[in-house]
Order: sequence, then C-alpha cells, then structure tokens
Amino acid sequence: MTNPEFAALVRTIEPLRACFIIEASSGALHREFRRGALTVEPDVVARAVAGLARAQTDIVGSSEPATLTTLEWPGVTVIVRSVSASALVVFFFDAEMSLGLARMHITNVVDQLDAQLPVAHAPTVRAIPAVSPRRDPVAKVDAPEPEPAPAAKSTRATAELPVVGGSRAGKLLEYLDGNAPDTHAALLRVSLQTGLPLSLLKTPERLSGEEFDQVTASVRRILGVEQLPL
Amino acid sequence: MANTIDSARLHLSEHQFDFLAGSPVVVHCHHFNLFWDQTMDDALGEEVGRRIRTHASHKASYKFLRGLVDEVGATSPVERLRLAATVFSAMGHGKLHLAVGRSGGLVRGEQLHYGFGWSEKYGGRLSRSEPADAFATGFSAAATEVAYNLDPGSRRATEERCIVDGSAGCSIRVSGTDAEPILPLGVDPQSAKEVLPPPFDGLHEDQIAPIVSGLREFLSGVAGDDRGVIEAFGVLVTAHLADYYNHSANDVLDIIAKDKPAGVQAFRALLLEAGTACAFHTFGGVLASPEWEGLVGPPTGDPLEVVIGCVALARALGFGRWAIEEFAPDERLVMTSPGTYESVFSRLISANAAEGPGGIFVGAGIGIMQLAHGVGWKPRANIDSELYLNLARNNPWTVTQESSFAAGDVLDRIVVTRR
Repeated sequence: MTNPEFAALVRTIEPLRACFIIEASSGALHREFRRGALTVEPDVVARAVAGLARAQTDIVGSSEPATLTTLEWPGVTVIVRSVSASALVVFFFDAEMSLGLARMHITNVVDQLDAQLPVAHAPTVRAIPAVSPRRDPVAKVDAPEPEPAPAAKSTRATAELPVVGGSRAGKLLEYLDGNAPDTHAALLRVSLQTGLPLSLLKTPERLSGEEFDQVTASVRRILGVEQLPL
Repeated sequence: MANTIDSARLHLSEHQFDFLAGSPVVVHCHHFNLFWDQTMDDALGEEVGRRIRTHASHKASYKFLRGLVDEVGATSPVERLRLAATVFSAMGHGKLHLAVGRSGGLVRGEQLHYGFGWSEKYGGRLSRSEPADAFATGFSAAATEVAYNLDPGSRRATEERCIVDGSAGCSIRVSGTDAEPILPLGVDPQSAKEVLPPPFDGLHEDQIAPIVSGLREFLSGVAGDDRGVIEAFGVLVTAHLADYYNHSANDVLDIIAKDKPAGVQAFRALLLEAGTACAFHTFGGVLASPEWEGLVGPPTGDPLEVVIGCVALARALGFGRWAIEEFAPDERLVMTSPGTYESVFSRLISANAAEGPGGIFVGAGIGIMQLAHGVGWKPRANIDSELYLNLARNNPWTVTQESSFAAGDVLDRIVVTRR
C-alpha cells in the first residue's frame, strides 16, 4: 500500500494530528501521515521512538508485540503501539482526546495495517506479494499490496521474541513455518482457513483460546496430520 | 482423432487467446494448478471446496464437450465418450476410462493430473485423505451428459478412490441426481471479440512477435504421451479450460465474501501468489529449457531479455496479449493487456465483475521480475521449488494493478516496483 493509501486510512480519525509507521530495529520511517505542521521532524520522532521501544524491551525483558506506551506532551498525546517485533506505530492525538477512544481508534487502525508493516531486517525475512480487497470499485482501484511475510512472523517469534509465558501460539506457528509446504504462503493460508486477520496472526499472543484452537486445526490441515508434536 | 480435435482450434491472434471447440484454453503447470485448488479448499474446507471445484469443472467441461462433439460431428455415445477421453489425455490431464451408460457408471483414471501432480510434488512429505481430481470428476459427469444428450447437471460424479491416499488408482462414480440444473456458461470467441478493446503494441514488439510465433509452432506439437501426461520444462503441463479456473475462483469468492469476509484479503493474496508461482515455474522452466535455447538461443541473463521472453510466453500460452509499457532494469516494470483470460471472464460472466478475483496478470508481474533479477541464468538456471522459496522469502518487489479491464477500465495495467 502506498503512503497516500495509508494516509487515507488514518485521515478519517479527526483528532489524529499525525501517524507514523516505523521499523523498530532501525528507526526507519516506513509510512507517515501529517495533518498540518509538526513541531518535530518525523525522522527524529521515529528514531526516538525506536530507542524508546528498545529501552522498554530492556526493562520488561521481552518485546511483547501489543504493548502501548503513552506520552503526554503539551497539547498532544503520543501513543506508541508495538504491532510486531519489527514495527511500531506512533499516533499523535489532540490532548483532548480521551485515552479510551484513542485506544479504540488504534485497535481499528492496527487491524488494517497488515499490508503496511515493515518487514524485519533479519536474514530470515520473508515476504510475498498480496492483494488487498477492492475498497472502491467505482474508482477502479485494486491495488495488490505487499504483505509482510507470513513466515516472517513465525520467524520473528523464535529469532527475535522469546516465547513468553508458554506462548503456545508462537510455537505452533513456528512449527508451521518449519514444516509447511510453500512456507512463505503458510500464514496467509491460516488466515484464509480460519477467517482470522493477518494482523492478529502476527501477534499470536493476542489469540483467544477459541482462536488458538482454530489456528491449531488449520495448522493440522496444512500439514496433513492428526496430531502436532508440540 | 488428434487431427479431428485440431480442427476445433481457434486462435484469436489479435488478442492472443486460444479456443478449443469454443472454450478458452490456457497452459498451466502442476505447481499453479495444485496451488489454485488448494486455495479454493483453504477458503471453504476440503469438502465444500472439492464440491465447488467439481461443479466448476462440470460447467466448464459441459460447455467444452458440447461444443466439441458438435464441431467434430461425433454423434453416437461411444464416439463421444472416446472423443472426451482422447481430448482429456491430449490436454495432459491423464487417462480416463469412461465406462458409463446413460444412468452413470464407473470411471477409472490413470495419472490424473492433480493426483499425479500432488503425489509428485508433496507425496514424500505430506499425507492426504481427500481426493485431488475434482477437474476429472466434473469432466466425467459432463462427458456422460454430453454422450447421452442429457441435461447439464443431471449427472453427478464423485471421486471414490485417489492415489493421493495410497490407492493404486483413481476411480470416479457417475450417477443420476435431482440437483438443480447447472448453467454451463463460459467465454466464447465471439463475445470475447466483442468485449475486448482493439489490441495495441508495447515495447520490443519486433522481438516478441517472432518468439511468440516460434513458441506457438513448438507448442502445437505438444500433447499428452501414452499416459496422457505432458512432462516438459521441468513441470507437468496441462492445456486447461480457463473457464474452470474462473468459475471456481468466482464461486468461492462469492461465498466467502458473504460468509467469511475476513478471509477475502488472504484469498486474493493467495491467488496472486498462484500467479507468481506460475510465472516462475512455467515461464522460468521454459526459459531454462533446451527447447528455448533452440528457439531463441541460450539465456544471457539480461533482465530485458527475460522480460521479453516472459511476455512472449504469456501470449503463446493463451493468457492474453500482454505488452511491455515500460521496463527499467532493477527498478520497474509496467505491463498492459487489453484483457486477460481472467478479466475477460469477469467482464462477461461474473455477476460482480469489479470484485473479480483476478491474480494471474498481477502475480506474474512479481514472478517475471524475480526471474529477471533473482535468477542466475548462466551457465544454466535451475528453476526449482527451492529457488522459488528462496526468492519468495526475500521478495523485494511489490505490484499494483492500476487499471482493471474486469472493473470497467479500458485495459489491464500493472506496475511492479521495488518495495
């Protein structure tokens, strides 16, 4: 998805002054949206937020993908949402915006961000092309979107994120990654089989018990086995 | 019999579509075919997916066989069944022994493309209990109906045994049914000509055109061997009914758009992946083949040469009149086409053309750029699944469809760039 399309996605949130997607490890700016002038340059924000994320990882001991960090600056509330080990989204809301409403907007946006997340710069990065559903047939826009690699996700779970507190879903998807045919497409297949969005599958810690069971059944189907040796 | 079938061929040269007995025919390999069917099953589950695929084959095959017996002048059931089995094998789908009467019967299959191809590709590492040969199954039902002048949809077929589960062979049961009649719709040459815009040239036409002619001449001699199998270019090749792919994908999309909308994005992405795999395996396999070397010369590894070769192949395989609008090595590829075998179907047949599934043209754009920049062509490229997986894992290309003939634009146009 292009930057204008990203901007179109977040522009509808009126109290949102700016929004950036940045790559967590390098602080590289991946996508940006600004409504009016900002007092700081996006690149500066990106680098600073990446450092903040690293500091949090040092403190907490793991990079829990769905963490939120809230900063209150004069006139603006900055919320940093870690959506994967490799991607952060930074939201600049008007200070009057209630935190609850802001979080609701953040959840909605993140669920639609699959195609825009940067892929981790690791040797095992995987990426395959994908296509987004037509959003506006009248405008005849049918832009296939780059999807972050399905396998990159499970690779991330092992290579970058320690599996915390019995992250069975992480182990499950790691196993899929290691054993599936056409492994680069495996997570897309899980998404199609289960109807669960890719964004959720990329943060397996967020899976509910029922969703985990769905994913387990899907992995069995893909591998053609009754039982998984996990 | 082969000469008789050849007389039913029609080539729309201005749009690079091939018709056999009035049905569009395209060439695809087992990698693409297996991935395609798998995606249908991923969307709906194996049972419903198989039913939809069988139904798609039934519709496409009925239209095709009805046209074929009329064109060839086969009148008796025996003639018609023999013709159906012959054309099935000639197209690389294996062998069918159609021991069916008016009420049905048992069809024995050998080396059926999907089961055979699945066993070749996955048999050593995966197990499977669901039969794989939905295309042969729907074809068998249609062959029975056409042989005995029965209404389309009055017979149903079920694959009872398939080699994918370790059975010695494949068998398909054909029987009567009271199910709803089917509508054997599909693209025909006249409607395609009417809906397609005038063709236009792209870059390097002077190089593309002679390659297409040579390829078409070469491919005209390619047909199933004694087993009904076409092994060429490192893949199992089929001449396939384009209506089969289009019916199956459109029917599945209709269902999941209502029942599982969250899966639509993944469905489209996987169809696009099928297109990428097709370009890599089929185009790449041909480019790396001795036959290509004989026709065009040994690949030098020049990216432009690869792109030209792929566009020529798309035309020769019946995908449509793909053209190069712009190519900057290592940076950008823009391809256009007045229509593809997918977008023409969407425009003519789909209830909701603008939402058509698409995939081959768009996905192939990625595959072509991978072949042009990610493959070491000298001294000889090894186009295999391992290389494909490596390229897919590190794919630096992204593609955008900027115009869609299916959605009402005047042409199909894609742009491939670096991420």
